[in-house]
Amino acid sequence: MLEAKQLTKKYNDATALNAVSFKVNPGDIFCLLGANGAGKTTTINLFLNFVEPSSGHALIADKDVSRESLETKKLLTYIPENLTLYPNLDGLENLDYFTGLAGKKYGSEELHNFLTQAGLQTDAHTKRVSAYSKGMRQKVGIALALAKDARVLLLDEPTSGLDPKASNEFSELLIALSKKGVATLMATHDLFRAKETGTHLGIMKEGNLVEMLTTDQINHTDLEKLYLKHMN
Amino acid sequence: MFTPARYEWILLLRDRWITILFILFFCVTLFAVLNGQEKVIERKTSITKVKEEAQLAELKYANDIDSLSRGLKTAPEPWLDPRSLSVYGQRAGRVVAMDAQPLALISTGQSDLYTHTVKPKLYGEANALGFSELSNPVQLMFGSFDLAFVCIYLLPLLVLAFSYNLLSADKESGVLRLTISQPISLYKWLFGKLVVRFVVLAAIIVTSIVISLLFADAAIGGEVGKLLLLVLAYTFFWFSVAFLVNLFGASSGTNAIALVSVWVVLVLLIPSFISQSANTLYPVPSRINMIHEYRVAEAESNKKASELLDGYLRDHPELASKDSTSKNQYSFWLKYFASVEVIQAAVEPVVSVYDEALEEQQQWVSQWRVLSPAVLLQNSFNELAGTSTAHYQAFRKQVVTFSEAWRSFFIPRMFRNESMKPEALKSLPQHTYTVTDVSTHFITDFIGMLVFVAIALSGSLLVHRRFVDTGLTTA
Repeated sequence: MLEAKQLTKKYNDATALNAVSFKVNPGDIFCLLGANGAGKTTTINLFLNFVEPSSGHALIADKDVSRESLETKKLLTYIPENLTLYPNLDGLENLDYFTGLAGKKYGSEELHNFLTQAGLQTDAHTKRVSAYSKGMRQKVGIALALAKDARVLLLDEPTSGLDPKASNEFSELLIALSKKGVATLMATHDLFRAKETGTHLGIMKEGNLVEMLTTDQINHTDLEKLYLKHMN
Repeated sequence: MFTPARYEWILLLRDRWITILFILFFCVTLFAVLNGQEKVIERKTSITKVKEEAQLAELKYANDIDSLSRGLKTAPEPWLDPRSLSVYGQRAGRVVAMDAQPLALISTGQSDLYTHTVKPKLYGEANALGFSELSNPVQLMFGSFDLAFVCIYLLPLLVLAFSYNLLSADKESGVLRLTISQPISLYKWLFGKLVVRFVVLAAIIVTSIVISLLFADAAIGGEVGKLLLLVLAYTFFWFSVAFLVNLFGASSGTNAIALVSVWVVLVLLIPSFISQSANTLYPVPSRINMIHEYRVAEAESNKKASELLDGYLRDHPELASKDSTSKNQYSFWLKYFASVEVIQAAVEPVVSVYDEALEEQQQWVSQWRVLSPAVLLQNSFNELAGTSTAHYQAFRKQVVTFSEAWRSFFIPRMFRNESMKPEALKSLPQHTYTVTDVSTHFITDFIGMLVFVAIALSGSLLVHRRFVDTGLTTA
């Protein structure tokens, strides 16, 4: 569903991403781990076509995102570290707006259902987003994925700054989506959450993907050791 | 309604921007229109007063002539006797007035530089000297707080305040990342926002202007339609510039500085450059110099009045009386009329230089007005208001023509040593101000405005191509 082929991004002489290759199949949750500047966000930006690769390819459903940007964006939902919505619209209106941009049209009841499925309490649906916590905004992002019927989720440190309960709820939502066949690529610093939620792990260092493994191959302690080994 | 457009409208409403903008623009427009109306009323009052005074004088003279002809009244001193053509021709002159056009209140134009009433008389300084403005009129083209000022100067600033952060606000808040992760062309999405804002502002502009004009009792007709078309095209041009600048992906602060710079160049610097260059390339002669030339010629001609009269009669044998001029009651004036031609001939080169310079200045301005949409709009505003330099030039020509007609009525009769009779009053020349001989440039100005819009939008397409590499989305 989602594939990086020798994906490289250079800014002048600096290499942000160096020939990275991996594949995320439907139902997989691929967690990218690494220090700041390791290339996690660059990888996600390349799949969003926010930046163009210097070489290599980012593919979604076998389509090159830099060539068929609009087509691939129909298939994905992106949730950044700090999902910002229009503060003067309520959750329902924001969902209606962004699904409208994605070319989908739903009635009010359906939009309420998406928000409820994403775990947002009913009384919050019609409250202005300016009063939302980060966790609530992330849930609107998940509702957007549901409404778009997204086949790919691109998450850039989505649980950063969330309290453990909200973080756990978010993980459960991701697992629920993966069971529906959604392929997820998540950049995170949270080793514990990556191990608990993900199906695959990739450790990045200075633009290189230095380790790839499945979560059932390793326990929490060994993951931490492995991670620190690469960071040193 | 298309979802993004509907939400753009909802967001605008919730920002209270629209309400503030509407109130602000409406108040400013109304104030400007009422200000313009006050000037027009002042002008109309002044014209009416002068005309009434002239009519009263004419009526009095007609009555006096009638009474004196029937011997019902004792003849006054010769220099006060209305039967004397020299007295009537000088004191009962008709008023040549430049009546205000229906939309005169929208633009002061040249109206605060020139007089709107001239009373051509039988003798005195050349009429052309009496009302010609000898400073560069283009320099004084802008300034009054009228509808033209509001639309040309303030409206672009409102547009810029309304659109400088069209894209940058979403970028800075972070919501742009979610927006452009959707399968929609950023160019189309942003253009959609621009169109919504334009439509909203257009509705505010049309409502404010129409209500203000109705409030000021101005005639709402085809000319107002032209006015609105021009203003809306001008507004859309400024939105297009804001659109172009936003596409560079800079911060709101940078956008604001860039847009204000464009405003300064197009609204202040280019008109100023056109004005200054017109003045430098085609300078008009000094008014003092012109009057000096006139006075010198007048003094010279007075010294040799008799010789001049002989020469004048040689040139105009049809005026020569069979009687000796010494018996003519107007002998003094006949010498004067002879000298007038000499004086006019003496000042003619200076007046010609002035006329030519003014004409060339106007051609220069007309030619280079395409450099700025502000000048295009000002030009059309003045033309629609009937306050353009061309209108005043046409009026000046009408005054000169009427003045000649007035003298031509009296002078031959004076040479024939006739008196003013009641029946002659009906055949006195009359004047009605017309604007038919003034060419207007509405269509070319409107097309010019659309060309500016096309340039801005073409620029935006070019900028859009390098959009991804600006770092806009990753910032």
